[in-house]
Amino acid sequence: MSERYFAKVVKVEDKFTVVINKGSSTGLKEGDQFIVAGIGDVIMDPDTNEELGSLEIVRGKVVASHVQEKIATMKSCDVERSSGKREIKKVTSKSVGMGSIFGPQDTVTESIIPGDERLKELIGVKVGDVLIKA
Amino acid sequence: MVNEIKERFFSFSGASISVGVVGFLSGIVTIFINVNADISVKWLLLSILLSLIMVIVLLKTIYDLSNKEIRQNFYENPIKYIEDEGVFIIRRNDNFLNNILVGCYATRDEVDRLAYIGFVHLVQEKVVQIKIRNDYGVLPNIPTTTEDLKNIVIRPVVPISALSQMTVQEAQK
Repeated sequence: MSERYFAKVVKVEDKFTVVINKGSSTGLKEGDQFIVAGIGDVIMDPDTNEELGSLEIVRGKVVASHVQEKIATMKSCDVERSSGKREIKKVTSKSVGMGSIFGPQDTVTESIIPGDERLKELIGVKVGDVLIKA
Repeated sequence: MVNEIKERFFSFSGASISVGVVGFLSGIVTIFINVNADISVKWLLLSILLSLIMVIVLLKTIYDLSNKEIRQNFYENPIKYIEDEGVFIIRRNDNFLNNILVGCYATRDEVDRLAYIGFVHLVQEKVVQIKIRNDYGVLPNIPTTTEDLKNIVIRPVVPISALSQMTVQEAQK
């Protein structure tokens, strides 16, 4: 295996969890982050016809959640956020004293409520995909 | 680096240095050294010859490398478009770092127009993947052929007007 690729996926538990063929014996620790990628077609330079390597198709980003001696469980750590809400509030204040000369005053407040965060699936992950140091 | 040194040894300059060293040694040897002496002068000369060739070639390599300026373009033309992933593939260039925003400009009538905004998705050993994020509708379709791709220029520069437009669009989503 190329030096660039740290490990291979040996089991896909679910859309968010995979098992890899490297563990604590190779220095892997809980919390280490990697990019999971599938190996695609070979890219050729159209000008020089030089082989530029295989395309790495990114499945997602994972973090080591449980490390054993020879295997480790990796969980997705990429988050996606649903679109936030934009709220515009208009408050009309009552005029008192000198303020009554100019009539009621409007205060417009605009706020953006951030959307919910959720874990991103490892899109299309399968056995044999490789892990690259993030 | 290793390849570069190998290339230097087995190149014209390596060969010419060898010829020079052989000539120099043969001149010196006939003047000062008795080649019929008891110690194996032949082997001594061979070892001196080889070491001199290596030293000179390495010195020349070090000198050339220290003078070499690594300049990379501030733009790249995509070499491929991967439709399934929505990514342009460009050659590796250190001006394109992980996750930065880039502008994809289409050249029409000799004028560059911002066609797409993308970001550096993944940096591989020899190529970089640029994922398209915003399409400004300058081109009817994303180019896929080698000829069409040559009309796209990707620069690690995004106009501020496009950035603010993108921010507004994101907020409105």
